[in-house]
Amino acid sequence: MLTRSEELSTQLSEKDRLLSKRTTELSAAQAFLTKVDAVSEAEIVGMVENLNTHISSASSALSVTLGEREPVQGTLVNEPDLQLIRDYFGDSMFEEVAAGNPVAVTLAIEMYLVQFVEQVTSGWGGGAAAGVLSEIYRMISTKGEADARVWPKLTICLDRESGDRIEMENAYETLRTPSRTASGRGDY
Amino acid sequence: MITRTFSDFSEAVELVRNGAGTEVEAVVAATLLFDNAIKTKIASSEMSVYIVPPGATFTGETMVDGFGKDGGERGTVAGTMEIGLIQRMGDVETVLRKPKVILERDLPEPESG
Repeated sequence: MLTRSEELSTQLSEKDRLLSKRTTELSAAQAFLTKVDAVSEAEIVGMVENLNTHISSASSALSVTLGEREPVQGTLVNEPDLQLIRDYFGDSMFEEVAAGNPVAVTLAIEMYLVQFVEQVTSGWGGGAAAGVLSEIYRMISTKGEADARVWPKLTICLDRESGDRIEMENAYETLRTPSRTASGRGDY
Repeated sequence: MITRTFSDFSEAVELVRNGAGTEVEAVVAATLLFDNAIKTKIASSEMSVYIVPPGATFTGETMVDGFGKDGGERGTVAGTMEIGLIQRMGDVETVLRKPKVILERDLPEPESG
């Protein structure tokens, strides 16, 4: 007959084994939870390199295409528009292009495509969600990594229809509540 | 003044589409891919395109002189020819990829006559 002591010892061993198993599982889950980026820094840099290659090819192709046209005297652009173009390219590049330098034209097109990419990627689109997205992103970046994990899940909504709007709004409300992090900042 | 003759806007669009449509579409596709990545796939830091506006002073620490001697001389930037990438984590900014710029002094000389 097992003594009371032996019975308790067996139970303790069983609980130790269970605790060890659960600890291992939790460690694995923790590693998953702290991985906030779906792509690496190197992959992003690679995308930039790829983008620059395409910009170079497109500017060459555009330059050749537009260069096939015969130039005419005079201007087809009114003065206010000319000033806009001058502001966009800067005085020195504008003067070179206006002088008819074909190399400068290619450079200007390349410069335009570079600025196009910057304009597209610096905003959140022109839709109704742009302001909300911008604000959410600001809050996330202020709150730090703990809440940053919300972001990938949140932006999945962008690829879906409006049925997920409620989920998005819930996430937004969650972020509006005071932070649980050590800083304790809730002044958003 | 350099200008090209087009009877209307649609003719210009058609010309560009036929002559460089594939290349322009590739730029747009690569832009959207990159845009999606920095806005939905990266959350541990903020990444954004880094370009230098015309008129800025050249500094070798944050940009590359892509067309000159890059001997550390100071100069005025005429434009950015390749985009760079900047990473922000809190108040810390790191240039992950320097933008390639052309300086005013390296712009091609205007053709005489």
